[in-house]
Amino acid sequence: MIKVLHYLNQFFAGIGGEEKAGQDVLFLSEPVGIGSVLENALKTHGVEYATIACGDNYFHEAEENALRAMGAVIDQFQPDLFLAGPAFSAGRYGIACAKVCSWVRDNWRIPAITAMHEDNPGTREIGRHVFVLQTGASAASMQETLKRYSLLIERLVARDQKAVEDFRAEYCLAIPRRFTIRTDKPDYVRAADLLLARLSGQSYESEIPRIETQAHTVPNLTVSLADATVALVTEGGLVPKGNPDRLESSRGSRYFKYSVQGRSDLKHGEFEAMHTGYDTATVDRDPDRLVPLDAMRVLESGQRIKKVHDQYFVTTGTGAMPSKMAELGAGIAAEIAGAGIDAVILTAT
Amino acid sequence: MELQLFDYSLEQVQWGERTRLDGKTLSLCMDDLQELLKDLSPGVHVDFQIARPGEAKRIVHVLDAVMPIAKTGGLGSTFPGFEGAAELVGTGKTVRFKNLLVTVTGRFPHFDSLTPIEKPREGIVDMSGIGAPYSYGSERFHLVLSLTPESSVSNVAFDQTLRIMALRCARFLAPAERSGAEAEKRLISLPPVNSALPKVVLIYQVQSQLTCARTFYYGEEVSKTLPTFVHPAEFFDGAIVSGNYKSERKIPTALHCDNPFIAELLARHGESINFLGVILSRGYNDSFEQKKKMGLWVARLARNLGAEGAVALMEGTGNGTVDFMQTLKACEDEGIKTAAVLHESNGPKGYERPLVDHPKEAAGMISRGNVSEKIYIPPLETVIGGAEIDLHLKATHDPHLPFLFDPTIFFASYSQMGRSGFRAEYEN
Repeated sequence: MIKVLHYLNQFFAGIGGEEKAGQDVLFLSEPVGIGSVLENALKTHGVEYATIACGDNYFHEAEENALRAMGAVIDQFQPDLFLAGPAFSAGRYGIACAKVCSWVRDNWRIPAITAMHEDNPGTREIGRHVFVLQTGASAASMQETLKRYSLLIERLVARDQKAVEDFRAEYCLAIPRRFTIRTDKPDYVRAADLLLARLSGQSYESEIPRIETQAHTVPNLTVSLADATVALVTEGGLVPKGNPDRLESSRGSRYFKYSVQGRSDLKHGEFEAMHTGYDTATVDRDPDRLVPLDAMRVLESGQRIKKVHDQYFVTTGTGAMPSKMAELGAGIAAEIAGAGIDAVILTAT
Repeated sequence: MELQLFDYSLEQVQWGERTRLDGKTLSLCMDDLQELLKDLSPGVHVDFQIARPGEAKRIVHVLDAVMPIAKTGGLGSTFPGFEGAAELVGTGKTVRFKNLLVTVTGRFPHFDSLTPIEKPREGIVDMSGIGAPYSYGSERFHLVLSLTPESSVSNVAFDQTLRIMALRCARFLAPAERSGAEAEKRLISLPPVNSALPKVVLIYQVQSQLTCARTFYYGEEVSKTLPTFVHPAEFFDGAIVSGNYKSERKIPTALHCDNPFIAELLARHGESINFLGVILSRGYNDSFEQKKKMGLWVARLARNLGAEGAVALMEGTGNGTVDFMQTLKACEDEGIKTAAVLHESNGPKGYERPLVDHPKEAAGMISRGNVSEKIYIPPLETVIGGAEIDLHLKATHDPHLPFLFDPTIFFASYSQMGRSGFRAEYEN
């Protein structure tokens, strides 16, 4: 007897199309749509099959609530296996399938299987140990995909580790992600071995791959410097004293902008740095040393530049993932591009 | 220069009427410990507890762990520069308990008035279960000093007090009265060996920035020193002491004086390498120029020592990685081959770039695993050291409940993950 819980969006659950995308989390104690096909394929094992339905808009707009509701269902139903999808090329459903499967696998440690096309943005949200069956771009590959779900489930139910791994290698998406494994030698032994291999000219493996940094082209100034409005941007965590917006001191998840209008410089005691990555004492003593408003005002009054933008932009660039920082950077850049700013001075720490 | 080391391994640690070692059983007398710390304890309440390997115990708010070491012959005292003049160490006789730690836990009295960078980070030690291979010291006995400061105690005073308390206990315990106990004797020295063997140094980069994130060498902050040569024997006598509370990434004092990298290179000395000694350097320099200079100075020192190769390790993360990479680059540019050890931050989903900085010269890297991967951490029966886990200032967590978190919640996990043989690898 196995208990299977299958997460479907409003469309696959037969609730409706886009007009029903706001549907909140719904528990159905029976298979629905493609779930019935899978239940039928598994019936020799004796299967108790239930469904979670949730609208795509609801999931993305109220992710935390959606997960909480699904968690309550899982605690109640106690599934042995969790399924989501297939999502094919549907981006919003693909991301939701990936997030839900990863979250279920992490918290309940039961096998989680989803399926999608290799170009689905959901592939960027796949957590460790989640099975991602490869599908075609559209539902034309539905029949073959459902067969793969049941083949994988058969192998998982049989607890045949080798068959599972062989299946994974053949039918699951290869998404290169790095996770921790345990070797039989500690780091100090491997380090000494690696050094000796390098010194004696033997072949060796550097265990950490080097990823080339993306090159960014520096745009040319489109106006003369004397006509340029310049904005100050920093990742150094400078906020008004008291940190009114609760900027995180590490793993920054947001950026803020603060007015410098009417100020000739940033005074000690009126600003402070929220940042765990560098010694903030100097900046706390003189905030201009991070966001150089005083120097910019000299250039402004000497007409070397036209104007300092009335707000500076800030986030905390420590401890965070590069992808998050890229997202924040794009947000700041979009605001700047829309505000008639010609140039930026970016101070990093 | 040679140091005679007398190692005692323990099979049991228990409370007793007297502090003494019988065979492999160490008895600890609470009155002795209270008396020992009496003059340090006004305003700081100390609660003593024992934790043993394999027990269902979780120690929270760990600030440092110190190995019991004491001089029984020769110059100076262990942990030079603390409670006494800093005489040179690394010669004579030193006695130690190989699998016991004096572990200090506590929260600073005025936590909110510390700047973000000064604030100690949470560090827990799980004595068994999933967390054990991530927790420094999970395979050793602990004498835990849980400290509760009154508000009359300043943060600065608390920082000093907790350090002196731990070091004093360590010096007191190591030479305890004993009977029927056999020491394992070792000689720590670098005798001349076959000159054809490759000459190797260990580059040892520590974090030293400011109060609560610093490292001491003979009682002096390493941020005030240039890179320097240190004989391995000096480490065994506690010449390096940690004052760094960046918990997951710190090298605890015990790991400075009982460092497996030093032990490994000593073991290979005369066999496959000619170990020249250790270069101690500082990470977290304030500017790129300083980081680069530090790298150049380390490489120049290694070159002048005659090194052909270097094993390199660093304490810290992000910021310190840049100093470390500049050091590796400078060594490689000098023709000194490197093998360097670091943790990776590949993100919870594993697809982020592994390192913040990775010049092409750093071509011999050893991985300690993905420190940003989420792991499911079940609870343990007994919690020592506090009533909650600080999830790095974002929230608190009841230590009696399971939680999903990355390895940064464990004390000295970056070092311990390496020691446990973890590394990161591509999945799929």
